[in-house]
Amino acid sequence: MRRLDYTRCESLRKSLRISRRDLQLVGAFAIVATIVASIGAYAYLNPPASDEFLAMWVLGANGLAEHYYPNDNPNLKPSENVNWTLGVYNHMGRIEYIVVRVKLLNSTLPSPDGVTGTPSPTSPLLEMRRILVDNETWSLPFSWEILALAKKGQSLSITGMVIQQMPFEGTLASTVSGSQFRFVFELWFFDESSNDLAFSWQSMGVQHAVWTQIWFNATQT
Amino acid sequence: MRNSCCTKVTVLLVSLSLCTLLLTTPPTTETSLSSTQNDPVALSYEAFSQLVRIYSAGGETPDLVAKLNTALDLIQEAHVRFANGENASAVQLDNEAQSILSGVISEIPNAQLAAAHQTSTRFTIVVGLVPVIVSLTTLSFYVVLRIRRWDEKTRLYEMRIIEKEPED
Repeated sequence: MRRLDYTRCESLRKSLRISRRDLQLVGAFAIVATIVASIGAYAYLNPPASDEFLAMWVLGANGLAEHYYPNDNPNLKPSENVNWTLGVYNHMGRIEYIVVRVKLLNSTLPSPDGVTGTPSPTSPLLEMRRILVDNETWSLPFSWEILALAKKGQSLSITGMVIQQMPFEGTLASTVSGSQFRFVFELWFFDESSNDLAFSWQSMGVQHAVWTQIWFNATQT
Repeated sequence: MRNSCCTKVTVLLVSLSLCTLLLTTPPTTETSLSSTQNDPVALSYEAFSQLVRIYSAGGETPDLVAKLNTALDLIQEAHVRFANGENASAVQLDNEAQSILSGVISEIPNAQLAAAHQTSTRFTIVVGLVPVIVSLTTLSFYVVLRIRRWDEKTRLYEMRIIEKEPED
């Protein structure tokens, strides 16, 4: 049987008028090409895992990292309209249900902690939701203004606001002294394993959480 | 007398066990189901969880994602209207969002089938391309080799024997 195969191979080689050495060369090339093509096909069907991350940013009125306040003055009076652009980018390698939670804090309330993945304990004023496929960016306008302030001794409270056309009343945030407030934007996502929203995730053994903040001063005059 | 007492006790026990049965199992399921059906946000989570399965299987459904985002925008707009006291239009928007979400959920089984088909087609094409590519490149290599051999042979034929001139 083996002898027959060899004879058949020899007759084929002779009919092709190719030397034994060249036939070996073509055979070796075919083996190398098979290995390379198989590796390429495997890499295409199973792309390597890249670093998973979500990103969020806040831009000013003209969509650049400038002019965050009217007349570039962070001391805001009631009825001064502020326009920002919020951006979210998904590089998690999968589709994500994104929720941006907007919180109003003073300078002493605890901020979110990116290292431990703990969100700020303050309740959100509002939430914005969006489904983002991998590598997609979500850009949304964010407008707000202070409607009313209340001063009691050294303490200043924001008692009325309009954020994204939604009115808010009551003591929204107070300072013990001074007039510094901040908007904190926390990036949450829907976690199917817990069937709930999650603030942090693990990627390559490292805890990640995304949040950003912008400070402003509230003033009555 | 003793018989009637026994009957009473039996009836009492049966009614008690029936009450216990009614109070324990079914209402929990109904409540959770109805709360999901009435809450558009919970519905959006459910729709998203099913979309994830499609994308994890290597499929893509941009039209369903767009519909889901439209529903989320409507939920957001409904919140704004509730806050502004426009309750009637807010309820209308909420209902609209719910009907879109229900539509998305009902379309998902077909999308899952399409995604599975898409994935298997891609796999077949990629795997099938391997022998094609190998054959084409090997054939090209063989042709190049033959040309080179032919060129070498031609040069050999064109060689002329030149007598060496005697040195003085």
